[in-house]
Amino acid sequence: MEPVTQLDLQALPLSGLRHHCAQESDRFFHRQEHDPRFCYELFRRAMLERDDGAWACIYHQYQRLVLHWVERHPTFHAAGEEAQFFLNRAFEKMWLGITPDKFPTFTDLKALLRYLQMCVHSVMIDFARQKESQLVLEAVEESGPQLAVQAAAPAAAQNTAVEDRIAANLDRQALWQWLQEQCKDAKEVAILEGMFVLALKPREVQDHYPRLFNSVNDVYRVKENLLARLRRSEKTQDFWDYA
Amino acid sequence: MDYGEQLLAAHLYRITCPSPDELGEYHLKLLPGVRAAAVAQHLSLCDRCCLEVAQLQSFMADLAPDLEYSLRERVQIWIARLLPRGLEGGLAAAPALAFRGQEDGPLTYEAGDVQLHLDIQDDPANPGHKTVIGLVIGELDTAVSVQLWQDGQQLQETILDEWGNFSLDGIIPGIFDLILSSGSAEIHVPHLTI
Repeated sequence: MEPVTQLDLQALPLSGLRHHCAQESDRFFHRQEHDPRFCYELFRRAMLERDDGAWACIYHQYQRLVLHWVERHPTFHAAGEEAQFFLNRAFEKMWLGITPDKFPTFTDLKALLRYLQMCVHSVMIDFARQKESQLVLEAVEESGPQLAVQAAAPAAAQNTAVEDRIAANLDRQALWQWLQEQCKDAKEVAILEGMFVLALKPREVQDHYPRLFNSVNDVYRVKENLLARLRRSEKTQDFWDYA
Repeated sequence: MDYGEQLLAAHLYRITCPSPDELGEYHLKLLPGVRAAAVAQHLSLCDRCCLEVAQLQSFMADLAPDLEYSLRERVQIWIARLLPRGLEGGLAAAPALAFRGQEDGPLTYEAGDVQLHLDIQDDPANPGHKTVIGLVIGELDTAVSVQLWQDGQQLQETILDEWGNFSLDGIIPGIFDLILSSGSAEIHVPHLTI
């Protein structure tokens, strides 16, 4: 007898494929030898042919495994969200991430499942980033009034108004785009990204951009110039009025 | 930083960081060269993204044993091909089934070295239902299970007897998948109209 070919597998009805994938996955769950071709073929139909039926079979087949991965992720217990939520997001990511043109990169089941593991991590990190970003913003907003009270000089309070208004009213991406446009050279862009986006300290900015900055003082100087210009900008006021 | 700067920093927090998906694809070496270079450049600046990639690496290393079981092509699968009538060859002369009342004769399928003869008849015990009588000729392992599937559900299962015969009764007419399964090989008859 000749062994089964890929074409034979592709001719298998979905029901037979599902049955075999279930059977082999069961062996997989019991840490026995298993045959990965049937499940791979399900993925091929789902990802390459965008077959919804095959995708439903994959979801059914792997949800238990993916749930297990979610629960083992180091950020899961602190997330305060149901595992099912992350499970669904992970499958969605995989569906969107592996387009038909990308599928041939995945030559075996193991590569596909590794991608699914990566998607689990990715949804957990998405969630953690969102939460962290929210906490950072809340912490700053909570500290705002106190700082304003502490600020003795009215001019100092006035100085903060521009950033406050921009931050409160502009979409993050639009804000970022606009701020980049205000930079007059690579040094200012480096300051903006290094200190405001990546939260680097002035010393770290100088370390990362030794060709742009001769010293830490240079970093401070460029930063102050940039901020002073932003505070004076009429466009800033226009943005505020428009928003 | 004064309050305004802090607020600005909070709004811009990690806005240039690659998404976790992109970092993941970078780690799996799936990104095209230009994007991979951009991510590598970013990683040289961003401790947080480095941490996330390290976390991914560790997470996948922890899960690696889940994907390391012995994989082998355990079952050999054959999709049975329906032979045109009259091409059953020498096997027709082999223990032929006696099909009473059958005008068209049995259906004959070929799968590797095995031939499968199927006769579909009315089920005398269940009016409106059908019986499938089968004969398998050729080498298959012992203990062959014969399964009838429809819409992903297994409806019936029986065992091939020592002479290669089986029978499935009480079938409501429709389209089915028939599977003959032994420990190491399977024969599939897809879209069997009964």
